[in-house]
Amino acid sequence: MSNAAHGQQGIGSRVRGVGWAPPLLLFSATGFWLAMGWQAAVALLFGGAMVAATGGLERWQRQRAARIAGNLPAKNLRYLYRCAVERLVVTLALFAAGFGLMALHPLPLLSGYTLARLAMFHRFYQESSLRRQHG
Amino acid sequence: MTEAQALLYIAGALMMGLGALGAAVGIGILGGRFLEGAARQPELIPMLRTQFFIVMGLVDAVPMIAVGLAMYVLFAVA
Repeated sequence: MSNAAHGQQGIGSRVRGVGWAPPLLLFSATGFWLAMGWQAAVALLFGGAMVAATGGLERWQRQRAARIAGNLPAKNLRYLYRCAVERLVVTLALFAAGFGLMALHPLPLLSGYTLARLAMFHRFYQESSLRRQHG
Repeated sequence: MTEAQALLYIAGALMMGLGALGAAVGIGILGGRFLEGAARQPELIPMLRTQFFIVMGLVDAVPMIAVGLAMYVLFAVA
């Protein structure tokens, strides 16, 4: 296997990986559990699961766009915008379910969401650094 | 409804609305750049598509957090 192909494979495994979100969330959930009880830990994990759900939705739409739209820019753009709207709606629905229906603690839920998003930022930053290194 | 409650609802609506506005502008610019790039170099569309999806996730992160805060204000505080 050439160096370039090896590099691409490394990037692919990093992209598929979840970075340091799970250990960070578990650590924070333990902290919230000790400070505020198990409901707070569940709320924090729910916030992290929201980011995982929207990330999964994005990956699924990206694969669909690659499979169906191919090299047609307009069709690709349709999938991209549709994905953005779906992510917004899913996030709104999950926030409403968490705060309204399940009556979860707001602070740990928002903390879990923000921490998972920060972990995602870090993963994307790492990925773009790898892309820059490997061309 | 008290005046304080009404102000909280307005605050929640502003957070959600301005967050959506920011995300809309960001994703619109991103889409325009995607089309520009695709028109210049059609062979790069697969790479551009991946980059677009990734950057879209970054662009809508902060507005989504604003939406979460707005939900908190609407459901828990007000």
